[in-house]
Amino acid sequence: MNSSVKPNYYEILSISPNATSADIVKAYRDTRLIFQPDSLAAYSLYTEEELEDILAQIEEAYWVLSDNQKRRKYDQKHGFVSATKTKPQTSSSPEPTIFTKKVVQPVDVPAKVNGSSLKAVRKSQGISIDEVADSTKISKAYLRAIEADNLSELPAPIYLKSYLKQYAAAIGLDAERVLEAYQDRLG
Amino acid sequence: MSVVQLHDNQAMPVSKTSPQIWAVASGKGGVGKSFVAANLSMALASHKKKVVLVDLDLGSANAHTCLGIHNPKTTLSHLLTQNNTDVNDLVVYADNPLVGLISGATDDLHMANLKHFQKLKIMRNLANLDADYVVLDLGAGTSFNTLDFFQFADESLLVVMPEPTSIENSYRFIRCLLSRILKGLPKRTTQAINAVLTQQKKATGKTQSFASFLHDIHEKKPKHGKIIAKALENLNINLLVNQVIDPSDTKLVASMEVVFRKYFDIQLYPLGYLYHDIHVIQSLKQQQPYHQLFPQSRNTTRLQRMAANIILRKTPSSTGSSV
Repeated sequence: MNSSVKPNYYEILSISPNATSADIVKAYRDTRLIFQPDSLAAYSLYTEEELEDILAQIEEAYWVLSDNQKRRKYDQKHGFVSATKTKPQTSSSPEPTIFTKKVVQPVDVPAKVNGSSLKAVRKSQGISIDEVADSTKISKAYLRAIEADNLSELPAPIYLKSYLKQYAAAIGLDAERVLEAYQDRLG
Repeated sequence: MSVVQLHDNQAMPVSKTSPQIWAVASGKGGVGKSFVAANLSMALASHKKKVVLVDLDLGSANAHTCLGIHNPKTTLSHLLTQNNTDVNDLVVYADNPLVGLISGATDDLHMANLKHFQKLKIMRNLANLDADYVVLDLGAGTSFNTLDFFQFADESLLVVMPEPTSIENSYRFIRCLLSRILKGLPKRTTQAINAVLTQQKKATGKTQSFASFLHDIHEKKPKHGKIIAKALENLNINLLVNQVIDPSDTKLVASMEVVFRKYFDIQLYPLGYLYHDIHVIQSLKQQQPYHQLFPQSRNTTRLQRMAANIILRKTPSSTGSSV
């Protein structure tokens, strides 16, 4: 896009700056659906390329807003009254970013972190790929690409970061550690 | 180049309470515009409001059928062919004294192509109607007259169906509307607009979103940006999704609101959605309004809620002074 109309992250997700974490997840999923290539609501207005740009913006917005620390920094930088200010900082408690139908017990991150070891963890947790797709609303094609280590399948680096984080949380892994392990493979 | 002086009626002295005027349009035909216009009128009346439905779809007038009125004695053509007519004398009624109709069903087969002065005459007279609400059933498509009535109204309503051809045509309708509004602005502003558009085209080789155009013009030519903003200020566009079958399409209203804001940088007001219902055709065949024949239906209930929402939102303007 030529003239970058840079909306802030809250505008991208159509939420107010004091949205709760739950609001943010819902808004992320709803907004993502709206700008899919086969979306009815956006039909005829955008080229596929433009939709990809918009989807990348959405991922970027969610990446920052779904993380309390990142969100607080962003809020301060842009002059938003931070909704995260009053929350006590408990770094070890996982943020409620995923709604899963079954209770997923946390497990240790495997020594070697790659697509197949993540898949093994998922299987050992008794979670099907359908269930991950259902709870994260990430397409099965992308999930399979992650598990097969076909990272070029994903449209942009921001997708990989964002989806890895959600996928890890959905199967009970510490998302931060998984992302660390993928560091050199991330764009 | 015809410039529509839509500020005409604002300069007219208007009697104590002029009605709030709603214009109902759709990009393409067959979406249910006339059904919505007629039954929304009845829904407003169910809240004790006086409504006059005006059929401006002169080439294919359907409003009278939707209200169950056949062979109306007076029509819109009477307003145009006779002088010194009180527009209120042209309103016909069926069973409900709160819902009147000025029909477009005329034997004058050239009526569909209104001349500019005829359009202005209609606009002036609409404000004289003795009603709380005037609902305009516009023609389908993007003819200048349709666009002008849409812009002229206090509130406008776009009716769409949850399928691609309707969605595409409704977005095209809005783009035509905006283009017409911009073309009617003063020469210096239109020159500024063309300069910005040419620049954009050179840089990217394609047309940008309206929001992107607005951003550019506010940045590069802020004085003209302000003029454009003022011209767009009075647009109050509402959205209704009609003929919903698939449960997932109930989300379309909210989704389109998001897309609208992103692409046009214009706030769309979601009025709601209605279900596809085979009883609609039944009511037409039985020559009675759906709202009357099926008072317990989901759609009637939804229409009544929409009407309540409209009434609560804003009471009809009671000011008549020029700006």
